[in-house]
Parts: sequence; structure tokens; C-alpha cells
Amino acid sequence: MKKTLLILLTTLLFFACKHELERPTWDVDLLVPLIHSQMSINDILTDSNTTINEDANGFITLIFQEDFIDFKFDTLVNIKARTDEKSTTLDSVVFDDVVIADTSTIGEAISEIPFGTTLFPDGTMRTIPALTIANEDTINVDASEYFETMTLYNGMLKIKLKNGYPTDISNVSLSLINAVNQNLIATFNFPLIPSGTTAEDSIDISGQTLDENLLAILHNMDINASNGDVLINYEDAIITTITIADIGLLEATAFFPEQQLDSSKTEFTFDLGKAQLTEIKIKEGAVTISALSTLPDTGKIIYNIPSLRKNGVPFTSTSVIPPSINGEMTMLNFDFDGYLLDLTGQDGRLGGDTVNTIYSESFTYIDSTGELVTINQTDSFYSFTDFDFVTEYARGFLGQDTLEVEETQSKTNVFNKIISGDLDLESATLSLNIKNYLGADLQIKFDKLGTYNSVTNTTVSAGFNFLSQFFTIPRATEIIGAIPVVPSITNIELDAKDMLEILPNKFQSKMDIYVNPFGQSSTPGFLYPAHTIDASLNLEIPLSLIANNLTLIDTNEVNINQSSEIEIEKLFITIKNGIPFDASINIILYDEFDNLIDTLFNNAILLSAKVDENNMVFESTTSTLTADYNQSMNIRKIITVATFNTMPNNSFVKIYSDYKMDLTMSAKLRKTIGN
Amino acid sequence: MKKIIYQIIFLLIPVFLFAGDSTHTSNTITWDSKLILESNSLNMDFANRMLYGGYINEHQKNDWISNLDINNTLFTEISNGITYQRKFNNSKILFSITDRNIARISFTDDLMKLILFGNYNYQGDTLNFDKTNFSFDRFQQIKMGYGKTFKVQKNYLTISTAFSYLNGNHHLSFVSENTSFYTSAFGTYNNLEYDINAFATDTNDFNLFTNNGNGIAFDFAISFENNEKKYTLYLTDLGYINWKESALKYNTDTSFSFSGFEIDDLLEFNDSIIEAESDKYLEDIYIGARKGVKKSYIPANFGFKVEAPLSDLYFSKYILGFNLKWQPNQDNVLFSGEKILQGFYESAYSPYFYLKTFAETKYALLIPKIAIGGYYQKLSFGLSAQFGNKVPIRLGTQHLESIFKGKDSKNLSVFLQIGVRF
Repeated sequence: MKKTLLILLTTLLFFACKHELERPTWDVDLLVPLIHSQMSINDILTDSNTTINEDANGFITLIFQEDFIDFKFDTLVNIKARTDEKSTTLDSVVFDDVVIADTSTIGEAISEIPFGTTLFPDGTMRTIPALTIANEDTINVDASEYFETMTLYNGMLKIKLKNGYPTDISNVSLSLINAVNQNLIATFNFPLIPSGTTAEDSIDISGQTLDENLLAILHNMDINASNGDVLINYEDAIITTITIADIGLLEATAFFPEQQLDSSKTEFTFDLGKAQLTEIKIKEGAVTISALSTLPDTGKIIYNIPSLRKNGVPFTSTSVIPPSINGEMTMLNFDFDGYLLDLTGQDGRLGGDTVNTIYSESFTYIDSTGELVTINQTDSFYSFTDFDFVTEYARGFLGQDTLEVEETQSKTNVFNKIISGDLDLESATLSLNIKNYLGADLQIKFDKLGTYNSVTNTTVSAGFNFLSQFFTIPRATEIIGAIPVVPSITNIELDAKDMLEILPNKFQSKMDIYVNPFGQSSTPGFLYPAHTIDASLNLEIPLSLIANNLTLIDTNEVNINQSSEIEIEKLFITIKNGIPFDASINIILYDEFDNLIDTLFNNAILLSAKVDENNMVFESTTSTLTADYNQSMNIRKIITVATFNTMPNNSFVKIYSDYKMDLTMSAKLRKTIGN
Repeated sequence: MKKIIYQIIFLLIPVFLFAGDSTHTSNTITWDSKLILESNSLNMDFANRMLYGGYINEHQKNDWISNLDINNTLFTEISNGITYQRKFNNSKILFSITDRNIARISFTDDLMKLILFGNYNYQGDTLNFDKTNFSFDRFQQIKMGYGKTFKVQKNYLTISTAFSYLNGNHHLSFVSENTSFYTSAFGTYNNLEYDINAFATDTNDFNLFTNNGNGIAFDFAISFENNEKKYTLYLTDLGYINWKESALKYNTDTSFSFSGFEIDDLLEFNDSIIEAESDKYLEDIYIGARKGVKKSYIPANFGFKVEAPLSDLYFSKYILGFNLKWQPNQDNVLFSGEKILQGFYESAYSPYFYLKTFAETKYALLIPKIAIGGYYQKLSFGLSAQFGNKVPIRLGTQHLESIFKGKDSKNLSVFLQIGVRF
């Protein structure tokens, strides 16, 4: 029993009062570097438009570059014009002559005489007695293959009788009437037509309406007696030819053949201002022919520009102009990208080559469909041509011109971070770097050039000596290459020390640019619109300076979210300063609503690097800035205000590229382990 | 695994059959349970806090740190086993199955300072974590032994030996030979130099009895007994487990210096920049895991003891002895003198000297013990009591002083042994 009890008690010792296992928690203080950055003066001053030059010793010169002039020669870059506007009406339509012939042989006449073929056998020699034919014979004149009806405002009806009989004929009288309404069109009389001769007559039929079926009525024809025996040849004939000529239609229902309505060969001179161009290369562009045809038949236009070539092949086109529906125009577009346009006019033109002139040929046609159509005198064919070119280059004399550049105030951000203090520069140069890509000489004269600080309302001008000068910019040279122009580069420099020490935020300028001021050169001019005049304003500031309480402000948008797991208690910024500046630093934190969260550093002092007797840095100085950290808000903006003084005071200090500032931000973090 | 167990049972059947019909034999079946937690520096307050949670305040941290040595060890073993032993004539055979869970961690005081306080207070100092290691093994040990006693003149010489099969379940180890961490003033940079060898068995399978490795162990003992004393030299559990390739293995030797995320402009940084930069750094320090095999050693015991009767009023016998443990952290040296020394050194176990006496009372056999060394390294007192003879029950502790020291105690030890003799 005791043993059993002992076993039970022992067993209870193992299993009684079992405690739940849980995780312990405790706080640790961590010290970790957060971010590290090594910044040279290059990094500190780097801006999008700042270049940093170093000489062989690493001495730094800041170069700020800003665009200064941006010219567009719009009149030469985009060429737009409308030309060849014309309207061709039906009265200008040429309708081919209608020619209808009838042959009346002597054999046919003999066969109508009783016993004629017996008395006058074919091939025999007989004496022909005098005969009169006055039986109102009619000859059908069938014009249906030409028209159905035709009303003329102009026209001539011509008749030609060729007497092939072996004897004379006389007193020939015949009339031409419309077969349907029997309207008389014309009457002809021929007193004598000797054997073997032809007699002609014509009559104006303007205002007449002709049907497709006409009748020629022979009222009388006397066959004169022969002078003795003559050879009776049944094939000898009188040939009657009726011609409707000089047709001018008021209206017609006809089978109109393909026929030319209009033909024009024109020179058109573009308005290019004072430029006198001989050639342009079309970068992109088109010619649009707009046509409106009220003709019931299909029209056709052939448009050629012999002086417009691509790969040596001149531009030609043939286009169909359908009858207009509801007065809508037909637009024909021709892509001229990459074409070369000769602007010297028509080849071999009278008076020699000209300029700015395009030569074109235009031919308009009625394009026959082979069907009967009715055309009215009021029907017309209207067309014009639009040119719209963007030039890749233009060659020729660009003209003598004066371009006035209005007064401008261009903002500069060179000193925009400096809010106060004095900056004394040992030297500074402002240079205008002008690249002339034009095949034209230029001259520039500044009426105004200066700097302006709008905060202090201070202006410094470049001075009279500079403003009174004319600066000549030579023309560019054209070559063969990807960029086919070698620009001339001209630097216009002036001492800008005084202009920059006011810490300007604006440049003021006004100038005139003279194009080809010396007239036309023997060297052909040219223009590549992609490259005209590039002018930049360059500030060269050698970093040899004295800063006296020079205060810079910088605002940085950040996105720093506080972690709920880690609490930042302190921030340390350890700076190994290799730059000969003392600095007083304020860093202020703001939230997304621009509410002040905390002043992280308040006039924290950053010691200058140590310099030798030549004001050269020989040792960095380490400073550690310590700040308590407000954990509660999310930081969205950091404003840094830093006041700099060069060391030693009142001596110019040169800044070299190997002057660096090594910054490490570390933090004391409190983290609860086990949560 | 099942196949092996069946084979063992098959081998044992004749032994049990033989055990039932002899009057010249004695048989014992014993159940052993053991819980031991020993440290040379960390006390029960630390263990309680780590196991049962709660906030650790600065006072506790300082208290724990003040108790630390330069090198510190925490060892724990929980084992349960059953042993059958049969003595017959001058021989004995033994068979036991024991489930063992062994964990050991060795670390420097600098590591504990860093963990508890962080590095803020150690600006300009290099914290050393050399020889930091942690290992955990869970396995079943199936042991078969045989011993025979020879009579040499009037003395007796007993030679015993045993072989064990080790069924490895889980192993986790982390060894760093040379590791240091430096924090510069104001934290401008942190420098971590480290070498790490880490190994973990398949973490996808936490089955308690899964087979992730196989091993063997060897026991040997020799005793010489004359009329007065018995001298025993022994070596037990010298063995290892080969862990399977399914495990993950990490190995790296590098240094990492961090001076903050590099940015161009100190004032133009965002969380996104830090995230991107941190990803880059993590790539740099990422330790690539690969599959591999590993051999781990189980703690072997080597010792010598002298046992002699006492004609004292209270004590009938004493045992005086010493014990060493051998357990190298890594299998990186061929068997040699260096290897032997490595095993003793890396076991973090100081030579353990002890004196046990036996006092027979009316109700129980009391066995007090005084010892010095081991994982605790300091003087300790043990006491066990055995009740009964036919069905002996022994209950005891190796650290009686822990009962009196309470939360300041650095040890916890209790064992229970129940036997049946027939």
C-alpha cells in the first residue's frame, strides 16, 4: 500500500501544476546605421542644368547652362499654298466632227433608166444624153453612232460633193432635215460640178437641234450630156460627204469619246518672305487635288510636277474623278515624303531659272464610258491644288532680314536655394554660346542683357561696352553626313562677377538678329529646320569664394512611415566634413498637411574641415549631430536650412573635387523582443 | 525501422524464455525516467521566464548577466527507458530501450548581453560570440549488452560491453566557432564576422518517432574487485547518428559590415529606397541552404570509480569517482588525439568528481552524494532514496541544493527508477 502511495505521489510530481508555455518579452536598445552617403561638392551642387568641370588639380568650376534663343523659321519650315484653281465648263468641250458619207454610183442611176443597162452596158463607150433627176430622192444620214440628239450653240454643217461621173452635173439642189420632226436644217445649191471635180459648201447651224437620223433630200440634179462617147463604168460615183464641224454644245445626248477638257502648264511662286529658295527637300508633306465634276461621265485628271522628284523620278499621277454626288468634292492626296522639289521653275524657261517657283502640268479629261450620256452646257469640272510641305532642308538665299527678339526675362534656378547671405566670387564668366546651323551669316546686337534679383529688386547690367557691340556669327558649312551641317560656334563672353553676386533669379535680355547682314553670298545658303540657331547661356563660376552666412534652403518630399514594431528614440548624423565650410543646420519635419512635426536639428553646428596655410583641406572634421525623434507622425517633408561660412573667414576658399562629406545617419531603436 | 525492431524482438525471445526456468538466475526489469537541467550560469528564474513568458525587466537582465561566465553552458536531458537485465552464473545480459531528448547550448556572455540589451550600450566594443553552439537531439537508443566476471585468484575481473542502435528522430544544431559583432561609436557602422554551420532535419515532419537518421553506440567497462574495493573503468554511449540527406544544411564563413543603405542624397530617401536596398543586403547575407548528410555525436561518458564498503555507523558503502563527457560539435577532424580532446572540450562538461555513500535505514536506502564539475561546474549535492527490495523504487536528484536556492538555482534534476526483480 505504501509503495502504491509512493508511486502515485511520484507520478503526481511529474504531472501536477503544469504551467502553460508562453513567450517572454523584453526591450532591447539597438544602434544601427540607417543610411550612408558620401557626397562631394559635385553631388551637393548637382542640378539638371549644372555641369561641374575640374581642372588637373581637381579645382571645380560650376557651369550652369540654360537655353537662350530658340528660333523657328516657320515660313521656310512649313510651306502651304493653293494653286491651279480652275473651272472647266462644257462650252470648252471639244466634240469631234461628225462625218457621214454617201456614195451614188452611175450604175445605180443607169439601172433606174428603162433598158438602161442594155443601152449603156458597163465598160462600153457611149454618149450620155442630158438627164434631169428631180425625184426628191432622200439619202439617210445616220448619226446614231455619234449622238442621239444635239443642240448646238455653235456648229457648221459642211457638204462636199465629189463628181465621179464621166460627165458634168449641174443645178444640184439638196436639203438636210431631221428625220423625225422634218425640221429643215440647211439647203445647198451647186450650179455646176464638172466631171472629176469636188464642190463644197457649208452653213452655220448654231442654235439648231440635230437628231441622230437626218435626211438629205435631193431636189434636183441635172446630168449634162457627154461630149461624145465616154466610158461607161458602173463604179463611177458621186460621193456626198456631210460634216458637222466646230461643234459647240448647249446640250447633247451622245456617246462622248474620251476627250480633254483642259490642259494647263503653270508655274506657281510660293510666298517665302524674303527667302529665295532654289530647292527644298520635303521631310513630310502632301499635295492634295480637290476636284468637283458635275459631268455625268467619269472625269480623269493627269497631274505632273516635273520638278518634284524622288530618286530621280519625277512625280506623275493619273486619277479618276467620279461624277459628284450631292456636290461633294473628290480629294486626291499624294504623299511627298522624301521628295526633292526644284524651285527654279520650268526647265528651259524663258528668262532663265527663277526661285521659289514650282512648275506643274495638269490635264483633265472626260473619260468615256461608251454609254449615252446627256451633257449640258452648265456642267463643269472644278479643281484646285493644295501644297503642304514640311521641309527637311531648303537651299537658296535665305534673305536679308532683321529678327527682333522681344525683351524676355528668363528664370534661372542657379541660386534659387539661397535665401540670404553674402556670396563673394573671385571670378565668374557669363558666355553666350551660339551655334549657327544656318547657311547665312548673322549679326547679333544686344539692346539689353542683365541679371535681376526679384527678392532684393536689384539689377545689374552687362554694361554699355557690351551692349554697343555687334557680334558677327559666321554661317554654317553644309556637309554630307547624319547631321549635314557643321555649325559655326561663337562664344560671346563677359565678366559676370558683379551680375552673379546679387544672387539673381532672372536674366533679362533683348536683342536684334540680322540675317545675311552683308547681302547675298557667293556661297549658296541653306536651312535645316531641325537645326537653326542654338544659343545657350553659360555661367562659369570657379568655386573660389567667400561665403558669409550664406543660407540655403532645401525642401525634400519624403515618404517615411513609422514602424509599429520599432521605435526610433534618437537619430545620429555623423558627418566627416572634408569641405572648408562651417555650417549651422536646421532640419524641420512636416507631415502631409504641412503641419510641423518636429525640429530635428536646431542650429546644429557642423565644423569645417581643417585647412592649411594655402586654405587647402588637409583633414576632415567629424561632427555628430544628435536628435531626439518624435515617433508619432509620418514624415512627408523635410526642410533643411543650412547657413554656411567659408573657413577661414574673409579669404577666398577654393573647392576641389576630392573634398567630400561622409554622412551616416544612425538611430537608436527600441524594439520589444517576443511581441 | 519496424523491421529492425522485429529483428531485435526475435533475438530477445530466447532470452525471455530462458529467464523463466532457472533458480540460478536473477532478472530485473527497470523503468528509468530522468529530467536534468544544468547550467553553469543561467538560473531557474531565467528558465522560468523563457518557458512561461512575462516581461523581462532591467533588474532581471542585470541579475542574469552578473551570473554569467565568459563561456556558459545549458544542458538538459529528458529520458525515459526500460531495461531488462539478467544475471546468470558469472555473466549478465542487458537489453534496454530508452527515449532520449538532449539539448545543449554554449554561448558567451557577450551574446547574452546583446540579446538582452541590444548593442546600444556597447558602442566601440567588439562582442565575441566564439564557440557558440546549440544542439538538440531526439532519438531512441536500443541497447544490448553482455558482461562476464572472471575469477582471478581471489579477485574478480568483470568485462562488460554493449552495442546500441540509435534511431534518430530529430536533430537541430548550430555551431559558430568564430563570431564577433562590432558597433562603432554612434552606430556609424556595424561589423559582423561569423562562421556558421547549421543543420536541421526535415522540418516538414515533426513526428516524434520518425526515422531521420540511424546510428550506433558502444559501451565498454572493466571492473576489478578484490576483497575490499571494486575499481571500474567505463566508457558508455560512445556513438553517433548519421542524419539523412533529407535534412537542410547551412554552411557559411563570411563577414558583413553595414554602414547604412547607400544613397546619393541623405535627404532624399524613402521607405521604398530602404526596402530596395535592404533586399539587396539580404541577398548578400542570405545563407543558401542545401541538402546534405551530417553526423552528430551523442554525449559519451568516460570515467573511473572506486567502490568500497564502509564500517561506519551510518554508511555502509561509498563510491568515489570521476566522469568525463565526450561530445564534439562537428565531425570535422579525423579520429586522433586532437579529435579526442575536441570531444572533451566541446562537450562543455567539466571533469565531474563525486563521492556517493550508501546509508541503509529502516525504510529506505539513502544515497547522498557530493560532487563538483559537470555542466554546473560548481559544488553540488545529490540525494536519492530507494524503497523496497523486490520492487525497488528509487527517487532522487543530483542537485539537492536547487530546492533551497529556489529561482536562483542553476540546476534542476529529478530521476525516478522503478524496478522489478524476479
